[in-house]
Parts: sequence; structure tokens; C-alpha cells
Amino acid sequence: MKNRLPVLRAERGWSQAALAERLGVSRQTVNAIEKGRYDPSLPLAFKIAEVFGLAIEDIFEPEPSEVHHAG
Amino acid sequence: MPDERPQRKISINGTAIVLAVAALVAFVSGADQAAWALVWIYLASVTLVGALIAWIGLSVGPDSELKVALGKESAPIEGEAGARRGYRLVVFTAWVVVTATALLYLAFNGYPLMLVPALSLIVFLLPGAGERLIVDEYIQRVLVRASSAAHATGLVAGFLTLVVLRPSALELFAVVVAFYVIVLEWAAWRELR
Repeated sequence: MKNRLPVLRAERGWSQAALAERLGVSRQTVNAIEKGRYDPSLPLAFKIAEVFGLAIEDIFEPEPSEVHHAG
Repeated sequence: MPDERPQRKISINGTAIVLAVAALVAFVSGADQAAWALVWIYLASVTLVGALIAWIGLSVGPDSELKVALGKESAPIEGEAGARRGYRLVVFTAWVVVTATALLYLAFNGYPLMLVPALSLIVFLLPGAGERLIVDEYIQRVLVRASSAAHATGLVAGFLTLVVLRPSALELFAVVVAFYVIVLEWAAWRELR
């Protein structure tokens, strides 16, 4: 899943470790999410949105293949 | 953000040092069998526990936090905490050197299979070795996947060793443990570096 974490982090001058500390997760987890190797759980996604003061959909964007269109 | 979870610490260094000292005392006093038994226990068990837990600096949550007093922090620490971390690193390094020396000595003096657990100490040369991790949802998934591969490898290696080399029970245990540790460390390092 695409995400804007690196950009949002850079805007606030946060390192991966700093963001990880705010989220209560490991730096490796933040790195994995940013690189698209890992999709966060719903609670973690909500926490990320809360930390940045944005909606989840403003941070994460599903890959085109993940979006199933009805009809 | 303050961490209010209860914390406990386990000193792997302390356990290793006690076993090593006990073995030394046994050798000096002539109790060779007891001494060698302690050496095998020390090498086989502590190689697994120390190398694995020390590498990931294990912390488990969410309701409790277990920290191992080994390894280095991922962020720089100054003052008293930095001094404590420096002390831990010195003791930790000494443990690695002693263990590696003992394993290599045994390997070249009638116990060649001890080269295998010696290889498990290669983890300390890997980048990021000793970095503390919070075992969160992603780390748990990585460790579970790595553990599955490590279990399978350890069992296969143990079986092949048993069939081909006819080892003693403790040598077999050391080999199985060593393969488990090597594969677990390598698989986790691939994901977490």
C-alpha cells in the first residue's frame, strides 16, 4: 500500500526513530511501512493518522490492484 | 511519550558468567566430568539465548515489557545511562570473545562440530547487531516467519548430523541449537536491517 509517511515525516523534521517512538513501535516497523513491505493494522493506522493530524485516507492509498470496483 | 508499562530485566551476561566461573572452579578442583558438563551447558544453552535475545534486545508487549540487559540502544544515550550502556557493551563483548574462544578451542581439539555453534556468533558482526527492538506487530510477524524456517533447518541439520556423524547427545543438541540460531538471526536480520 502506498503511503505518504516519508513526506509527512520530512515536513515535521522527524526521523524514523522519532516517529516510531511517537507510535510506540520499532523503527524497523516504520521503515517497513514506508517501503510498502508491511501494511499496518487498523489500530496502528489510526494511531499514525492521529499523530499526523490527518485522516487515514490522506496518508495511505491502496495500490490499484487492491481496489475492487463494483458493477 | 512516557512508557508506563512495567519492566523487568534479565541479565543473560550474569547467567553466562556464573556458568563459566563454575566450570573454571570445577576444572581447577579436578572434577573434570562436572566441569565439561557445565561447559557443554554453557556453550549450548547460552549460545542460543544470548545470541538470539542479545541481538534483538527483546522487549515484549503490550502489557509488560521485558528488557534484556545486553546490547546497544538504537538511539544515543548520554550521561549515566550512556555509561551503563557502555558497561553492558564491554561485558557483552567479553562474553562473545570467551564463548567464541571456548567453541573454537573445542572445535580444534577433538570436537569439530563445535564450529557450528561458533558460526552462530557471526551475528555480532552483522550491521545492527545488538540494536534494541520493540516486539510490535511487524517484528512479531518477522520473528514468527524466521522461527518457522529456523525450526525446520535445525531439525533437518540435527537429523543429518545424527545419521552421518554419530555425535554425542550434547554435540547433537549444540548443532541443532546452533543451526536454529543461525537461521533465525539471518532471516530476521534480512528483514530488520
